[in-house]
Amino acid sequence: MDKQTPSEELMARIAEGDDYAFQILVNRHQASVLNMIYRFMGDRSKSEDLAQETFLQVWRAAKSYQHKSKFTTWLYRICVNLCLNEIKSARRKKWLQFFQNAPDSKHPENETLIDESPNPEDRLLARERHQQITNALQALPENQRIALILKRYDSLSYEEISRVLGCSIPTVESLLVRAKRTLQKKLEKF
Amino acid sequence: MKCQTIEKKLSAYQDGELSTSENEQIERHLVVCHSCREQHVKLQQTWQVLGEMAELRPSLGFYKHVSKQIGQASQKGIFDTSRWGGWWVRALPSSALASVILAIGILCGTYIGNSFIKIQPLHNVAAYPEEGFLSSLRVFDPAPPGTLADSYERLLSYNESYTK
Repeated sequence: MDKQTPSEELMARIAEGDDYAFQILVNRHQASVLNMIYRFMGDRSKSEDLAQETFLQVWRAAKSYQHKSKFTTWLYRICVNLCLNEIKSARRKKWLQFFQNAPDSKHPENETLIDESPNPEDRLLARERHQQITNALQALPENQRIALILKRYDSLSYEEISRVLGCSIPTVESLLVRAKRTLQKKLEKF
Repeated sequence: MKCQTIEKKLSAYQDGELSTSENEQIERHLVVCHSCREQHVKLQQTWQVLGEMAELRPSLGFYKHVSKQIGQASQKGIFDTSRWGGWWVRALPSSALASVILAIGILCGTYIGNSFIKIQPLHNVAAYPEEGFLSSLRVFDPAPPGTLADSYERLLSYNESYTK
């Protein structure tokens, strides 16, 4: 077993209790899972927690995992479910905060972003753009946002996205058309 | 194809999700239609802008945190409610408590009700053995005062006297 071993095979080994296989799997997919969640949620600290929770679920479900679909499709489905649950509980908390008159604890987390540019001006500009894109994405309805993220950043096909979302391929097509139209209007200034 | 149809298909065209013939049709249309071509360029620009979103790197101790959580979950074992199922396991203690409170309420209510309302004794079943079964059912007994049946009977008799 090495780093070239397919994820599906690693899952079979994880089901037998192979910790090393699990470590390879986590190292292989942690960045894509983290970024997918971050783009969807728009919150760095929550994303790290949810990404860890995703792999915890993977470990738990290893024995029941079946090779019916691609591993990444299955993995993203777990991610999406966790994100949607998190959004639901965040909404409930928001209502409670409203009734308790407590301030919202959300705070900007720009300082944790990765900026490769050595020039401070470029870095500032990049952060500003990043924030605008994040805001534009956050303004999309959840299903449109997921479909767009999976297509743009993870290059999933319409069929794979339909499996992750549990809907038909024409629905995915329609979600993407609407998402792109909205983003086009919001990001016109770029 | 009309411009309206092309506009709807531009997204799938950009994503490479169309058949070869559909691709060719759109390409032919884009050569002659300025409006659709402009729309396609805008779509591509938006797609490019989205690519400028910064990527995150997972923290150095990412795997360590995950394996720690797995260790904690293993220690919890069967008592881990999230592994068993969801809300119904967590709701079990509260529903059990509600059942106990309800049972106590019924018992107390019955006791208090019986102490206030005098229930008439049963007929002597031994004296009328052939009517023993019917008597034991107390079907033809007047309803005990204070009960819903008693109120109903009173209401009926009041209605009868009123109509007479």
